[in-house]
Amino acid sequence: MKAQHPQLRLLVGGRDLLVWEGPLRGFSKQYTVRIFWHRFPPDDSLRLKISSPRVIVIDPAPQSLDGMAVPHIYRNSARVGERICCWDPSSDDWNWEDAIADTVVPYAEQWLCSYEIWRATGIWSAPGRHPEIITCENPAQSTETSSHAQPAPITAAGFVKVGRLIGTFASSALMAVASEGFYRWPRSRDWKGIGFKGVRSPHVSIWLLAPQPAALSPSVSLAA
Amino acid sequence: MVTRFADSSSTLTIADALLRKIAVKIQLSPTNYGIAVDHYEAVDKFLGREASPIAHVFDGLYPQGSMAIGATIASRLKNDEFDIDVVAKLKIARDTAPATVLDALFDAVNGQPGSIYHGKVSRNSRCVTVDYDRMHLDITPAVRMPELDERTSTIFHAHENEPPANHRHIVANPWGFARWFAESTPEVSNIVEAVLRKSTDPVPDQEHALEKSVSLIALQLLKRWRNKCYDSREGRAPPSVVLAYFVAMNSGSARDLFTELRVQSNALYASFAHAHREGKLVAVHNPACATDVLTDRWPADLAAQRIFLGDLENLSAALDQIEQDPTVETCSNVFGELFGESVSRVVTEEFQKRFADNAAGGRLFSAGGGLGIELAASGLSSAQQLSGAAPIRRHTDFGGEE
Repeated sequence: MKAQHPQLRLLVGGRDLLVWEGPLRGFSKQYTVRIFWHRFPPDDSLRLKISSPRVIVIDPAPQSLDGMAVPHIYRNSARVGERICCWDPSSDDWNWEDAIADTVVPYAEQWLCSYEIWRATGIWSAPGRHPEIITCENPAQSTETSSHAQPAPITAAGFVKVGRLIGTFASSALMAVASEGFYRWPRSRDWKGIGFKGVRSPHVSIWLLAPQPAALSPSVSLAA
Repeated sequence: MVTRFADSSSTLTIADALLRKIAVKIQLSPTNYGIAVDHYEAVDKFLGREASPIAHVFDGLYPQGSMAIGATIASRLKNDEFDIDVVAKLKIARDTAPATVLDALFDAVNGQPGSIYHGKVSRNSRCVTVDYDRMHLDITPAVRMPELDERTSTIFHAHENEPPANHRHIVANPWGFARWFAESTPEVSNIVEAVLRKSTDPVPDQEHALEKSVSLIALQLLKRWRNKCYDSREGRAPPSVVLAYFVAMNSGSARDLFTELRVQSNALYASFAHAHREGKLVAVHNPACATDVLTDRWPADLAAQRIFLGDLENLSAALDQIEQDPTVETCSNVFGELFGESVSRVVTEEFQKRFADNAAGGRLFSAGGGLGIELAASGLSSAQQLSGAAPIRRHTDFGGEE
């Protein structure tokens, strides 16, 4: 990453979490972008997809156009800016073996270009897929209709296994904070209640540790 | 300033890419180019034919103005009408009454009822115009003045509604102006030289011009902008030759089109603002012929000059907007205001389609922050032309709630 995209500064370089931040360009405009990657190894038995890198466009944040929402973003998933969806998580667009510098970064650049053209024409110019809203409270009632099956929600047991895999639940706290687009490291109160007792639902989210927006569902999909 | 690409092999910006596409849209298409050449050659033969009433004094046609320097653009905003300017060399006494010369040329071109141009010809104060479908050929009669510089000529002014006392002879050298323009803008010299050497090859290779000269493209864009400003106004617009003069005078400092347009816009504003502050009209003489006053018919007064000065202020403000927010959206909106909504919309849509096609086909590539994406989308380059360009793997944007 450093060689190919030196403008992206490594903010967090831990074993389990990598966070870069810096400018990426659309056609002519620069955007401050944060890329973070919870580096869990793939574990099909858990059906986890939480190891996918995430991209948030922080500044300037993508803006709607004449009442039309910006296409291809994960809504309500970032406190600062917008988390963009620049590849299909259920395809082979990105795999564990792929270098983020060769895939995620140019995907994000292309997304920014598509966004700029969309602002001018109202047309999204890249191949895209729009699933219906995923409901994870009851997997049996999922409204997902796309051809790609979504992973099942992570269970409490799975959360424990993740904790073991990464060594400590503390890492999850850091990830939770990073996931929300915070600039600061977690304070002591962020850790309060962490542990299995802190889980309030049989469906566990890595976002649980961060303050919840009022409208946010208590359990959310981990598919990304 | 507009963001520059890190790759020194190109300074192309989105503004450049769209401006170049607009320039292509507003100039002679290859089809119209061929038609213009056909018309030009046909009139040349018609005037020189044995039965022509001026055959004994007609010495051929040669291009002048925009045609000579390869800067012809559509003269109307809503359709592809083009004005092609040529000079008819006549071997007559240079003090012949202007009205007599213009009337004789009119009669020669208009011909007898049933002849090819009959009823399609009009007589103007300095030229005779042949109207074609979406094209006009302006033929200016001229008599060489061999004692002066090459092709310095007498041309004739005789407005039909003016008394003969107001008719006059004018010493001009449009051919010399074209040569001076070429020398002042070296990157277009080859094109103009080719045209001047062979007068029967009147229209430069437009695509070649686009590849070679930002000055020439900037001139075309300024002319288009001028046309849009004056589309619904009464009275004369700033002559193309005056714009060409200022472009040539200020050519050479910019390497990319947007910057060139900015430089030319600033230079025009400075010249007109200076004259206006002094309470004077801008006066431009043909550098190849001191007696040839290019501003002799415009601006007629300070009010006319002030209108154009206001247009230049608006142009500068519009270009400022792009410098501050150089996005496709802003470029598209601003270029719509400057050059016409229709042409800007078409160019933006084509840009979008090309980008979409390249994205779907996995033909986009990244080189240091978007350069490859832009060039591929603009259609002005390919991956092979960029050092360090890496193809972007074809992928699918996702979307939805989380």
